[in-house]
Amino acid sequence: MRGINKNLKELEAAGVRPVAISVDAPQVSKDLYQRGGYAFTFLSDSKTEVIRRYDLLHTGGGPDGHDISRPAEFLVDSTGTVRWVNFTEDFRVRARADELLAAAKAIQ
Amino acid sequence: MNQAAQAQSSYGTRSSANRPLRIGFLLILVAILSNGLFFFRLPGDKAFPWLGLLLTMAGLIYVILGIRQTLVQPHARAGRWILTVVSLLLFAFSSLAFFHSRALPASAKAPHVGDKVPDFTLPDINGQEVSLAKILASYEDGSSATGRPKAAFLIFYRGYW
Repeated sequence: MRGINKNLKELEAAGVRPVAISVDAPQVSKDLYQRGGYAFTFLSDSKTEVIRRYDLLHTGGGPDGHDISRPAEFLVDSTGTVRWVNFTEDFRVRARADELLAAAKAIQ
Repeated sequence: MNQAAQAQSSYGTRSSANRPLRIGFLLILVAILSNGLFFFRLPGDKAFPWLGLLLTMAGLIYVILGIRQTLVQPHARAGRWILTVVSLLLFAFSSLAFFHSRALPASAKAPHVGDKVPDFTLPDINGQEVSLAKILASYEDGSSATGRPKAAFLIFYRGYW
């Protein structure tokens, strides 16, 4: 997400609005948002409703055994259609801004 | 052989006997430290976990060679066993980290390219309800970008701890 934040201007110029979603409560996300100097929207799915609907629930994946979201990224166009996805096989490896920009440029 | 040469040669033997263990320890240490590379989001980073695993396994081979050498030396110093134990613990940590990082759900029913995603509404950091439709209608408040975004980039992440 740091990479996305660093390239935010370029992404927005390409018509992409990033949004981060996790199980963290709004206050926890706010802390990350402020400390990390983020300038895009963070949403809180504490009840894992959306995470379940997207089939991303990682049961017991949190540090104290609570359910969290697996890392996953979706580029969704204005009609709500998925144009690009990234389901990492390793949570240390995430989508990079350059891959996303290439995918965004393919959307007209 | 004079005394100096003898000391030199016995030092040389001891040093070479330690070498596999030291190499093994260093390889595993480098494998663990290489996790720092993930922060840089470099191109080709999908290969990094495998490179780390390769270093870890190569390290284990050297540690085993080191143990074999220690066992045939009747007067191995305690320090060598300490380094062996530390190396094996680091090996366990590094290989467990590899499998832990990959123990992710399959997400077979997750939306794929071409699928329509369901709309949703979730609270933002200030507790304001935000829907996907609203995200797609405008940019972030305070952004220099204007008009409607072409797309939303939904980043699901593990959480902040």
